[in-house]
Amino acid sequence: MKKKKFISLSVLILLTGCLDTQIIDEILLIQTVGIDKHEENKLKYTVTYPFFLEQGEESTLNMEQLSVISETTEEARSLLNTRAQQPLRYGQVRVIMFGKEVAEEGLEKYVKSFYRNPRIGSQIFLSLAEGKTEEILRLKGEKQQRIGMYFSDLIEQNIEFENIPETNMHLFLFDLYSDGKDAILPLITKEGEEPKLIGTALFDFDRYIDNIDLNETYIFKQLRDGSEGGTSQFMVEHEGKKEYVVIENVFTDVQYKEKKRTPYPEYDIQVEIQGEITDNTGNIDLNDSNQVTKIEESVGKQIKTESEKLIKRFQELKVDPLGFGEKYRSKTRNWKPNEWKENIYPQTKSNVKVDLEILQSGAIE
Amino acid sequence: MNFFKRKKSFQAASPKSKNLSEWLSALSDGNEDFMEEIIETPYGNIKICYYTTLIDHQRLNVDFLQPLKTTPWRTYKDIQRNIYVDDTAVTNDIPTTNERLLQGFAACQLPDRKEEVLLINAPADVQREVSIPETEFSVIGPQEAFVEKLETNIFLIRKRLPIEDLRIRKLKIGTLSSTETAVFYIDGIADQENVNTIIQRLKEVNFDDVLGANALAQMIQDHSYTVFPQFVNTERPDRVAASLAEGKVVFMSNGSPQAIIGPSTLVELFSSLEDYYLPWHIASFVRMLRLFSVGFSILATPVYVAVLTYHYEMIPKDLLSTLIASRSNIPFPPLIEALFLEFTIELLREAGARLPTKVGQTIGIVGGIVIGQASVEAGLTSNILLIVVALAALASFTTPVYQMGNTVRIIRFPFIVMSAMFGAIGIALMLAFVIAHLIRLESLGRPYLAPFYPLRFTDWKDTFVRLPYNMFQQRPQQMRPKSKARKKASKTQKNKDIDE
Amino acid sequence: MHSKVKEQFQVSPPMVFFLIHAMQVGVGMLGFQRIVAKYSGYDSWIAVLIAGVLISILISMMYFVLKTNHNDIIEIHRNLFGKWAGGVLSLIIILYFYALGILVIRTYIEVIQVWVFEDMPTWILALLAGYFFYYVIEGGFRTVTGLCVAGVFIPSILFFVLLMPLQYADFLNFLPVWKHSVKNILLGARETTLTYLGFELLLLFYPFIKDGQRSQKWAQLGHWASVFVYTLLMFVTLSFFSEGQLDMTIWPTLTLLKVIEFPFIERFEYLGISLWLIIVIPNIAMAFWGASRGVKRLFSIKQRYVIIVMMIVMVFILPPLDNRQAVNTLNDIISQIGFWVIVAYITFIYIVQFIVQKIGRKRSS
Repeated sequence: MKKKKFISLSVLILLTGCLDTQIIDEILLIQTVGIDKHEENKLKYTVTYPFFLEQGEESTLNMEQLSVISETTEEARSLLNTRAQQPLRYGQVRVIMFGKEVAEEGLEKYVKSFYRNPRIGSQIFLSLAEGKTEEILRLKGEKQQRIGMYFSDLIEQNIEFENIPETNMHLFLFDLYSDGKDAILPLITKEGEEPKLIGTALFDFDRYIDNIDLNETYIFKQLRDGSEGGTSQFMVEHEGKKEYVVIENVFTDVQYKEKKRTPYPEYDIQVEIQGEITDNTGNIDLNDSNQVTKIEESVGKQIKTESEKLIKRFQELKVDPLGFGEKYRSKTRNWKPNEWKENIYPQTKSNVKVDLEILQSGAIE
Repeated sequence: MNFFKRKKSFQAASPKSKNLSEWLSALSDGNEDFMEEIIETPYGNIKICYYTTLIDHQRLNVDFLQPLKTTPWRTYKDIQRNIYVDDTAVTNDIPTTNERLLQGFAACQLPDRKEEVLLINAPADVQREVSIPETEFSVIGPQEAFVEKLETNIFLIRKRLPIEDLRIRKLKIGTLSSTETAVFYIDGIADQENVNTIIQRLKEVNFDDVLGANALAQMIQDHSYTVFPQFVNTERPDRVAASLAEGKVVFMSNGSPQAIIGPSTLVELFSSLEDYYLPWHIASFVRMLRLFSVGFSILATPVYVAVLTYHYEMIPKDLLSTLIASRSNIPFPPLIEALFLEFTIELLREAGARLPTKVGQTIGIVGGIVIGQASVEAGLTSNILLIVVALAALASFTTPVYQMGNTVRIIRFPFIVMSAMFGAIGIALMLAFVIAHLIRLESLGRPYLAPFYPLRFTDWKDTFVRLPYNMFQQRPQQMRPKSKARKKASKTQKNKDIDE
Repeated sequence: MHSKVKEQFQVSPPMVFFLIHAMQVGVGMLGFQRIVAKYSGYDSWIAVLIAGVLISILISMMYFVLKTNHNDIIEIHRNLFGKWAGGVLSLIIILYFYALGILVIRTYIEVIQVWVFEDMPTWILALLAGYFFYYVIEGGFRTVTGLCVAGVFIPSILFFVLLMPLQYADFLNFLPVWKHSVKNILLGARETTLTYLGFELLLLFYPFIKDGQRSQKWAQLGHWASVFVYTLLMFVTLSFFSEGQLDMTIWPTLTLLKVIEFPFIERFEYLGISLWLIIVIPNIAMAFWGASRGVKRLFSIKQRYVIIVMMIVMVFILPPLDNRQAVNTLNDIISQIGFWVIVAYITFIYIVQFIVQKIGRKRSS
């Protein structure tokens, strides 16, 4: 009796055989999306996806790029499908790139639409393109075949080992919807045939305001949340000559202390950098602790001035990617975001103290 | 006792003459291996009849006929005294005579005592030597396994538990086969309720030809529609002894080299006796490996099917192109691909099991290498799935109890089908079904999922891990043992400091 | 009509831990954060704790009533309010439990339809659920309890996984502590009590506990385990999302799972949703068991028939409830009833019982 019931039930289910399948070799997986401004209110969506040519035993990986003009991402996908051999899916998107013009008008609605779609992960990278994304996504030769992973690997390794501050869609949204912090995105451009990271784009809410270059980004990364990577080159005076040292960041700790509150807040920013000298020009004796101390002081001073310059600039632009607002809000009971942004933030003072410690200088004397 | 009554009624039902002599003479009509001969001795003639096929002729000659010819005798009593056979009886009862004759007794009759016969035990003893265990091989454990003969098996068990509290109850089951079945338990440890249940159920078995202990186990198990075995079956005397010592009840049948242990739990079906011979850390590691491999074996292929059919988002980016590339030539959906491979593996296993060992090995190699490789090259399956399925099959063979291994292999198929229909949700749904099913299962009326449900943390010492023996102070609560302590707790506290 | 549950069908007092805990942790856990945070913002964790204390008091009240009567709520109603009034009250409770079961199934199906299969037909799942819960409840209370144990143990790995989003935690969010008004925090607490719903089934399964009067500590322990889980989850959520971001995320728990990656699996939420099935099932099974048991006790109908009818009705009720509005409406209604059942009604019955006992004592003396 029980068995019969079960059999009839399973037959019923088998008969309905019900759901749309998404078999991985029968769909095309979009890996990169580029969004550019097109004439009027239209946008140009560019997507890249891998596909495999079936050639006997060996399948070869190929990349294809499609562009379409539309207003919303989902409509774009449906339009793209009219040109694709197999259905396109967003589930494996790794990088979404926005053109600068789009970003100037505000990114919220686009990011929100990607966030709304549960198929899209929240650890994907968003980035800003100087110029047309369509151009940047068109690589030549062998690189074209790896384009799906190219940009995500590019951003990822730079976050992990180099100067780009940590970013992904979740962090962008966190900053976007946070009253006391402004969002940032990595900035990508194409030089000749080479795509490359050139700095960090600053946002006021969802609108692109300005950008900082790679050297500033190095400082910015230290100030934002400390870091464990990044390399930068500094100039030091040695026996009256200009010499260069390259300092690789081993570990940075940054602490913000509110020194006073009224009439305008003042922050002490204590940056403790532990680094190693990986290279230097000229003949500085790195075994001489006096010399090293000298370098430490000199570089520390440079980082300090750079930092203060950077913060000044943020204040002038009225953007707050370092999150002073958050720090202020966490000690304020009647927090008013607008007042902070308009009146208090531009007047906020900050004193950067840099404490650089050179741990080592390589394997040779 | 009602068992014998039933047996008698069966005998009475068949047309038999009432006279013992006539009945004996009539037997040879239908049974051409039945012998009836007159022996001439210096002291008189004697009629002797027996089934030639059941009798050890040498024994009959040496122990019975020789003394009969050399020593004077007059009555049955004299004969009983003279011959070298101990197991004799004088009877006038036809059913008893019939039964004994079929067990390998010879009946002899004096010309002047036609109403009675003397039964002499001289059975032919065809017996396999006690050999090494085949299905439950252990590396460092004892290398002996049960044989078909019940007496030998009882001897093997008695030898391991030389106490008078080891009780053996014998039953005869099967209207045709009349299979001799022995129930073992240790009085004072085993819960009498379990003993009663198992004896009661064995008595209630009403079937003509009982094929042996494994068939009996199926007839008396609590739930007959489940794929999960509810008893541990083993061919190892040491496992039987260990189970008896925990308070379990065991039964064996004449003619089958397997003992059935109950009540059993799911965990026991995944434990091997080797776990108790190895040091506890290694045993625990092996046991966890085994449990993991069971999970892997059941879930690996379904997960492959689910992910490739529905959840492409879950594939890590580094695996993505490998997976797509391996599948891009395959014309079938993952479900068909997986079922094809699973089916192939099952075929190979079944063919290997049915064929003689040497041919079986060849089949394994042919199947594994040729079919696997060829089907990948022909674009029927992806090589990633080939790896997954092969690993899953390998993992399913780690289950120490053979029947549980079968269950693990079988249960995979509904999982695969569900995963092809509802993806990960289908797998979870199937998992929920299996869990609910396991919760409902019982073995001899005891919960099957213990000690997880009902929760008995003290019994967890012997589940995922096998903790050191000093933790085994108590018998498992699952059996409700009458005496709980396994050993006397030693009071000597280790209060010593270093180097004292 | 007197019910003394046979010992072989009873469960031991420690099982109450699992019964209470498994009932409280359910589908509500996927999205309660947003609703609570609407009122209490970043102070929501306080609201969760306050609600926890409140429920703890209610549990002791329930135990007071149950201990004095040594019976289930149906019998208590009959004793306190007579056959008719008591019967009506019992019927309301029964309907509430049945509707609760349906709501949980429907909400879970909605999650599946939004996150995994847009085209999953409701009726198939309803059919499967109908058969499954019939099979479970047919096994009796011990089987249902077993599911609760499984529903606590198996998904407990998720608990550790849910700590992993702390990699993006921003603890500044919590400061300053208690910036919302008491009223808002209490409103948040009110919303939280709804996620703790389910423990009131104790009113029905009390006679199934061996030494029922001694089981209170287990019930409290189970409840506090839920409070711990909820508070921790709230804590992780609040540190993970910024306020505006949380406000638009309907299922924050699933969004949390999105950032978890392992080398062999990305997008953990798919696994999470599937595993959530094991969490949700005891909820539904208990609710249906309670409803069918109630009918059995009230009308003396065989529970087997009751559950068959209930499952068939469920299969027909579920498919028409096919959009979010309908689900939300149902949710609101059940929440209202639930809130009144647990807070007001339990207090009410406690007071009545208290008075009755006082009078009885006076009379006897």
